[in-house]
Amino acid sequence: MNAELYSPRSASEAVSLKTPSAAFLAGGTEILRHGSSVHADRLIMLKNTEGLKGITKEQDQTVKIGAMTTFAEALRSSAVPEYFRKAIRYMASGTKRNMATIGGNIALIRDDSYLAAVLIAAHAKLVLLMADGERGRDGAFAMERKELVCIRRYLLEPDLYRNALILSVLLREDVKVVSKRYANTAESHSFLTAAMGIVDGKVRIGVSVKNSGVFFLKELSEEMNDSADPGKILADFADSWNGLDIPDDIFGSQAYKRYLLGVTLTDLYRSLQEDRGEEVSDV
Amino acid sequence: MKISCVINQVPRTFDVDPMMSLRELLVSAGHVCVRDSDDGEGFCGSDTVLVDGTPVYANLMIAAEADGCTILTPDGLGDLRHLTDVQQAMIDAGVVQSAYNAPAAALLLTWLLEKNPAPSREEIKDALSGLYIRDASYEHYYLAVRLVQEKRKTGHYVSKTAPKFRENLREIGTPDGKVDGPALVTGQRAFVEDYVSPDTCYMVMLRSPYASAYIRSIDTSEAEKVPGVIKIITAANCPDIYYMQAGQGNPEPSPHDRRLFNWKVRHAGDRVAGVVAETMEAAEKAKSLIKVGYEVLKPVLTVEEAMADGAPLVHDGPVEYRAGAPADLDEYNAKASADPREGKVIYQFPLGADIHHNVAASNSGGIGDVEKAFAEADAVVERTYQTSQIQHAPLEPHVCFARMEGGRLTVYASTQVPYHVRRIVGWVTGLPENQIHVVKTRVGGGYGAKQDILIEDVTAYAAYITGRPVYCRNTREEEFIANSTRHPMRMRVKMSGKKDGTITGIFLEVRANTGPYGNHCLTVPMNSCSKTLPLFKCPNMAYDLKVYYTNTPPAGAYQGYGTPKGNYALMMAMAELADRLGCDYKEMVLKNHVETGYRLDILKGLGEGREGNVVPVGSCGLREAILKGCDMIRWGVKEQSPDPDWKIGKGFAMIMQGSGLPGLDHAEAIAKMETDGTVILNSGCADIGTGLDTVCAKIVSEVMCMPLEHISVLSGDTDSAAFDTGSYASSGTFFSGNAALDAAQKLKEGVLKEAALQMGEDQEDLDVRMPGEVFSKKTGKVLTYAALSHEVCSGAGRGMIVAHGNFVTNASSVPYGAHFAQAAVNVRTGEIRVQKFYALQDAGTPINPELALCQMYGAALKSIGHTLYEGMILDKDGVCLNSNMTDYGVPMIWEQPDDFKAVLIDVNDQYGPFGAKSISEIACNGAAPAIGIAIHDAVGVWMDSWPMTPEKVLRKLGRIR
Repeated sequence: MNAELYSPRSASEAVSLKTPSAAFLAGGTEILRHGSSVHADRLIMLKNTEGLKGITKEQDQTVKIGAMTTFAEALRSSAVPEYFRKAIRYMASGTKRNMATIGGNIALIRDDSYLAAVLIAAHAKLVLLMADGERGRDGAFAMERKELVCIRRYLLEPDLYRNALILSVLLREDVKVVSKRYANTAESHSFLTAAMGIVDGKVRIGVSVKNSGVFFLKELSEEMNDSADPGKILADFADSWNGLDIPDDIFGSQAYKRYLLGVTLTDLYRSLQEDRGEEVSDV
Repeated sequence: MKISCVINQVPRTFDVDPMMSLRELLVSAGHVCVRDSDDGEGFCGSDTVLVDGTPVYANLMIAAEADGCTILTPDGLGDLRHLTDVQQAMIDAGVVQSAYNAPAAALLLTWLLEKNPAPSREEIKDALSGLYIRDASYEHYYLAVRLVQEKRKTGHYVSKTAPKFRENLREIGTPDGKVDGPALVTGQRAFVEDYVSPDTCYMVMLRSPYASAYIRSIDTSEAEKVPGVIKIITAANCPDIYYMQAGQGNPEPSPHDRRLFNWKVRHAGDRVAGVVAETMEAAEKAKSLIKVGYEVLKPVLTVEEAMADGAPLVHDGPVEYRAGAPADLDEYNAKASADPREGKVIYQFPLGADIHHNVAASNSGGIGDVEKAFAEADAVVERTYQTSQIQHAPLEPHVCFARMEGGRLTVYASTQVPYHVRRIVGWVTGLPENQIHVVKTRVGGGYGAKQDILIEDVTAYAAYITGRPVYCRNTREEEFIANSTRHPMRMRVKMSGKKDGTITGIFLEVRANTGPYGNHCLTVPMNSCSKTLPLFKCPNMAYDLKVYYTNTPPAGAYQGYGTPKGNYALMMAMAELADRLGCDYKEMVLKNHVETGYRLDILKGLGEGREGNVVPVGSCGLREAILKGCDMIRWGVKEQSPDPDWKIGKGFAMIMQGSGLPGLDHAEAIAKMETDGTVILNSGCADIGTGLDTVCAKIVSEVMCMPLEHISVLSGDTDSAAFDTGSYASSGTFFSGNAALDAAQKLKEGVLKEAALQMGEDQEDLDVRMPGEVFSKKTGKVLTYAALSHEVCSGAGRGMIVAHGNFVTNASSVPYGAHFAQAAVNVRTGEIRVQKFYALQDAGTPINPELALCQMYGAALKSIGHTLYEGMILDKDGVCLNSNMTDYGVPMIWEQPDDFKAVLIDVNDQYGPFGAKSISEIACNGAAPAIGIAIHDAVGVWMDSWPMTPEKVLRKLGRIR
């Protein structure tokens, strides 16, 4: 990649450098990877940018993970909820885990992101730094603001946040989330990750399907929340789901992936119920 | 920009391009062992370094990010004379084989043990999880860690690295390291890329986007204007010489069906133009400016398409024969296309080809009467099996550096066949062999891929016509689309038996896809019959094979040749027959396998383009392997999973291979005693990481009774050694080892003869003994080799003692074995987990037992990958959709079975050097049937194609349609 390189010291400076054709350089495992889909004429290196690292327990049973925290650092931290640590382990390469960052992974908005599916199910939030207004003589924007954004919104409406810098991820500790990832080998790209959470007593489902996208199965989640027999909803869902366009591709046929999604959601639901000690519907 | 960092404890400052990768920086600073196996895909880990104490991929970090950092590269550990305990343990454990990323592995284990002196198996697994190992698997890395722990705790190893064989011998059969181990594990300059001179030019290849097309026009005028461009080679200006790229005997059965560049491209990725320029950037720029007009043709992508009536023809030009031309050849050629862009196909001798029906080769034969056997049987099974197209995926891609030196052409090659490289380079350049010097460097993974001369031909040609040094290295994508691969095959098996478990008839039909060119088009598919049917003590056996040209990426040599596929089909069919007859599979196997002395009449028709050698079964550890393996895996005991969705089953397969090609292969070695009494063995052999140099050194050490460190083996250099057919067909230990043995025995004879003169004794009273001296059994007098050799090389001496050994044979030394699998299958998701895998093999006398075990592990894990994950996927136009490591699906440490064992069955062979047979190829032959049978045992479905994916399982189970 031929690009200008910048090394901002502060998040404000980093955001001021962001243009539509620029990219933030976090861990580098995707942007610098051969075959990456990211192309940029300016790289804004965040390695030396202050305030983007660290894991802290916040009030309200929330854990804040700095965007430049690596997968390995998050995995080592006992403050990070186990459901998220499990998702981190889906990155098979330990060496890559030493480099890849939580914020960088989320910002890629990849359709095979295992973190995305889990974060949706966990109803996680992002703290973003947004730049507004005109650029001044010093290149900085006239205004900048922090914004707390639901992960779902960030992932599903990326155009709104194209120039935003993720400062941190907020994970709730008071949720239960289970997930499962499918890939040909551990090191292969995921072709399906499904996650299901119980958040404030309600079911939330996040799904990443390679070559299709990342989805918050809102209607299915709501249908399950309203149903006396959620297991049946999932069983029906296994047969057909028209809201998703899954192609036949190198990872398998559409029929296979649809089937697998249904089975997996059923299993995840069963697992959640068992965790809660509730009676399991016959699914 | 300027950056400062500390590399291996030395403060350094660099002025770098900010976007330069850290790996590029480190290599330019002399740390050549920070290697690249994936073009920066972040997969293989050959580029691993520690930055501020943390392992990272240097390709995925820009140099600017290293400013202010402390970096440790693998060559910052111990050096050649001061190995660290981790490096030594890796050598002792046998994992330093092709070793392209062995230094990176040493670095990771060092890091792990510093952080955690007593890591668990899971922690070791995690530490190595970013490292791709294809040759030795990961099993003995666990052992290496244990060895380090033991040595740190007690001062010595407690664990055995491998069993010892032949107590009466000193070196042979003793785990005793690897002669090139220290250089490789410490990251010394050893591979082709390390020999490239700073003045080199670079060659890149413009490749066809179409699977089949005529080239209508090529315009290189704009490309030639790019500053720094030296030469662009195309079909318009390359020599009009037809040849083939298979590195095997001469004449090799493969048809000569290609030129360096052709007017018809025959697969997506086929060569269109080779651009030589002074910089890589200029070469790439020029490549992008070449204008090519294509006349796109309809491709044929499968055997079924190729055999269909009216199918497009991959080769449609005239056919020539160097020998044995059929009488109706003119009539046959009258059907050929008149378009000169088709070129021609030259057969060395008849192969049963019919290119006007896309048939590249065919053969059939058998013994007894299979139809009668089928008619009289109690049960007959008939099933068709399909295998996928598999890439070798070595860590080091195909790479070559060629230059003119003193008026001769020198070719640095990562090859299994240096003498065949020389011959084929001679063909395309027109140079005689005395004008070509091939230097086989260390080989960073071969597995058959480097038996084919895939880039040496064009690189050497470019260096010759330009007079400039030329370096060419395949990208990882080119490794997939423009290399040889494992032939996809369709096999139909019909097998009959009696209620008592006797197999009465076997018919094996093979339909193989050789791709656009005929590399090994007969020899590989023949192995699917010749290395499988002789396992059966069955009087009625027949085979019929046809090999088709298609427009898929090329096929060629691959570890095991066609055997893994034929064996998959036959063992699966046998298991199904046992099931049909209500017999226990184990009992059926025991009832029908061959044993020592059984006359193998089936071999008569199974020569590779000639009549086969009918011989009795020689040394054979097959039965012991079966019985021992059945005990280990608790055959007959049904295992239960605590999760009702997971079902567990067991399976196993008999396996065999060969030890080289009797009557075809040939090996030579020249041993000379230096003036200080040490020995240099110039061996024609090609050690590709398997330890063949060590085999030869141990043989010389054993015969000459001298320390291993007093022997150097210089191998694979065509100038210094005598001819050897190379490392393929499991020939290394058997052929090259026997040549070394012959040379050593003759050297000993020369030493004794000279000693008799110097000592004034009768030769028959003399013998040799450690540590390299002649002694008189009669008088007790002693003469050291140093003194003896000094004298013969003095002004009054009789000349250096030199011995020339060689080896040819018609004898067959066949390795046997059995591989066992326990697999768990999820009936709801189709997922398959290989829980246990046991490889039991008879390798005769394993000369390097620890290396032998690691080769068994490596080949077994590779074939587990073939069975479950690997396969090139082509779209409807023949373009490969998964031409990178991540999407292709090689197994890594997470895919390795938790319970993984390799066991050497102790058998002494009659013909091998000190009783040795081959070891590595055979280990590719068992996984597919063993796992397939285990899946049936678990969930009751017969998996008739590989890779055996979860989707296929679900379809077989009727879960999806």
